[in-house]
Amino acid sequence: MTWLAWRTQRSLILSSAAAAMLVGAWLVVGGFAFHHSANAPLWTELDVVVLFALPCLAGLALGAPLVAEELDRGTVRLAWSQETGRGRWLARKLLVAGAVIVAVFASLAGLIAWWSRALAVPDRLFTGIGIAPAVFDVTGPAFVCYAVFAFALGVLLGALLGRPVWASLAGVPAYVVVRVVVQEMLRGRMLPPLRFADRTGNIPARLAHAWVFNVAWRASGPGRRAAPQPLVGGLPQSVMRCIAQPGRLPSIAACTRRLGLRYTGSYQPPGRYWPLQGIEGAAFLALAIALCALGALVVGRRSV
Amino acid sequence: MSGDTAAVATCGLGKRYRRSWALSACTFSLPPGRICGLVGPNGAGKSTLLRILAGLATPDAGSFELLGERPGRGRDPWRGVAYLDQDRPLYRRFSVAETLRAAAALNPVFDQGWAARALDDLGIGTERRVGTLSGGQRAQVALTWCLARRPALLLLDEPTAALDPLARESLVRLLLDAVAENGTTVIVSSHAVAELGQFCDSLVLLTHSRVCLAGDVEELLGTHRLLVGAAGSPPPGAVLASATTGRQATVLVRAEEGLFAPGWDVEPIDLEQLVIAYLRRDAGEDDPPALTAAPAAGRRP
Repeated sequence: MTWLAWRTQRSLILSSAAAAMLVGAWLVVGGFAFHHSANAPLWTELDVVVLFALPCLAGLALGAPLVAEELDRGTVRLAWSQETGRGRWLARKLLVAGAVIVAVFASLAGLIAWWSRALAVPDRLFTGIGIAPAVFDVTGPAFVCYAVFAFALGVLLGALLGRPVWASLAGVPAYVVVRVVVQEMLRGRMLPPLRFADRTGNIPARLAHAWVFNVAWRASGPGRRAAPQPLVGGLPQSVMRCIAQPGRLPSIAACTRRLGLRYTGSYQPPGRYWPLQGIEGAAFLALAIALCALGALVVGRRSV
Repeated sequence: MSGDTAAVATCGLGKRYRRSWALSACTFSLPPGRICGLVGPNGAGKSTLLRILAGLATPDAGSFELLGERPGRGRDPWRGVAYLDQDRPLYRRFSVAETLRAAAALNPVFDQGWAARALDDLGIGTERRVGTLSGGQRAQVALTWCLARRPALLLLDEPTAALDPLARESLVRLLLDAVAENGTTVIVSSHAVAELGQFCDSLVLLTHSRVCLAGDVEELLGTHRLLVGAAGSPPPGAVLASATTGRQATVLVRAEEGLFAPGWDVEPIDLEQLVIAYLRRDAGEDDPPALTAAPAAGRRP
């Protein structure tokens, strides 16, 4: 049974794994280029885009055809009329392809971790900007779980639509929506964020390696709503007027203190990289399991 | 399985696709060990019926029992039931040997040795890719897959369609040899009624997604007669079809063995004539329909 699950998905699995290895090789080569030039950025924009898209594309490439291709070619009428039944047929295919996805992306995440350490820039990746979205998204367990999620999404859409290409096309926007919602609206609150406040309009230097978000000038003091202030030239209007008053040379800090305004925001310190990765990874894994369960329901009920 | 338990029993079986019923009020019962021909025009619901029995489609109405049990949740629903789809789906990139391995993986009961020998006898090498086989060979591989499961009930959806006469003949022989050996109950749908007549002992005729005739072939042939007599004289029995050539009328009636028909020559009828008469009757609404377009009216040796 495991042999059959492997045999029906062999060419797809091998080509996906080969593509992922190519990306890995490219990262290593890019990493050494970085090593030789102190000014090169650790992550080019292309790196980030490729690494952002990779779990989605690889997951859908393996997930969408898993049921849909056999529906499309009519081989489900063969496979589903055998004594083992649909449930075990699906379970075995999910296990084989899912194991490959996890193995490939875990090695890719490991590779990224390894070369960043090999290049002796650990603080820049994992304890530094690693907590900020651009790097957080393409490292660690969450990176692996995004791929598993995309895979499960592809399986469900494939079982519903019955066409691998349509399932892949529908999967991309669905994946992006879920990822963006989690990243923009949920991730910052998975652990209660810490707050900072500043009178001069700067993010404190100690937060250089933290993930800072939701930053704005807000009115301070009890009983007043901390609504963001409209800005003119980077500062609230009232502060600009205060500074522009003739006859005095007030500092920004003095003005904002008098006006009761503070530059405030939320942040997650770099030390929370692993807890946040764990929470987000678990959430996507749970989502993937739920999607697979739905897929099993669709497969069980579908008339072919 | 005792002798009086039906191998297949359906009761009011129906399947709806969007608004139209592909199959409705389908009720028949088939004793074990029979080879039953399933006949009807295109779109009459033959494939739908077989897919429901094979567990590939869920009925929207009615119920059915296979081998004395009602398939459903909580047990292996389709143990001992093998199904061959009309498209004969196989994994085209598999070799024949891999195909047999897949069949063995999907079925606790699968006689891989027998299957390999059977295909070897048919001249199909196990190293060949399924995609490179001819249509006839693919049908043989697909049927061998079904037969090697040693099923108690075999459902075949147009197994010989689109095959050349030689391939047809060899497929039918493969089927009949295995079936005779194991006492398998078979339901086989086909448009080749004459071919079915050679080996079927039961018949289910579907028209307009309903069962219009079902039963033992000998019994059906025994209760239908072709009457030839003078035009204008009222024929006895229930008229199914009639044709008039000059002063001579040919009439198909449903009647018992000892038909009393003064003034009529009573002639036997074969399965093909019977099926075509019923199909004609249900194709046009005029009652009784004409037998004119000769094959049904013509005598057969």
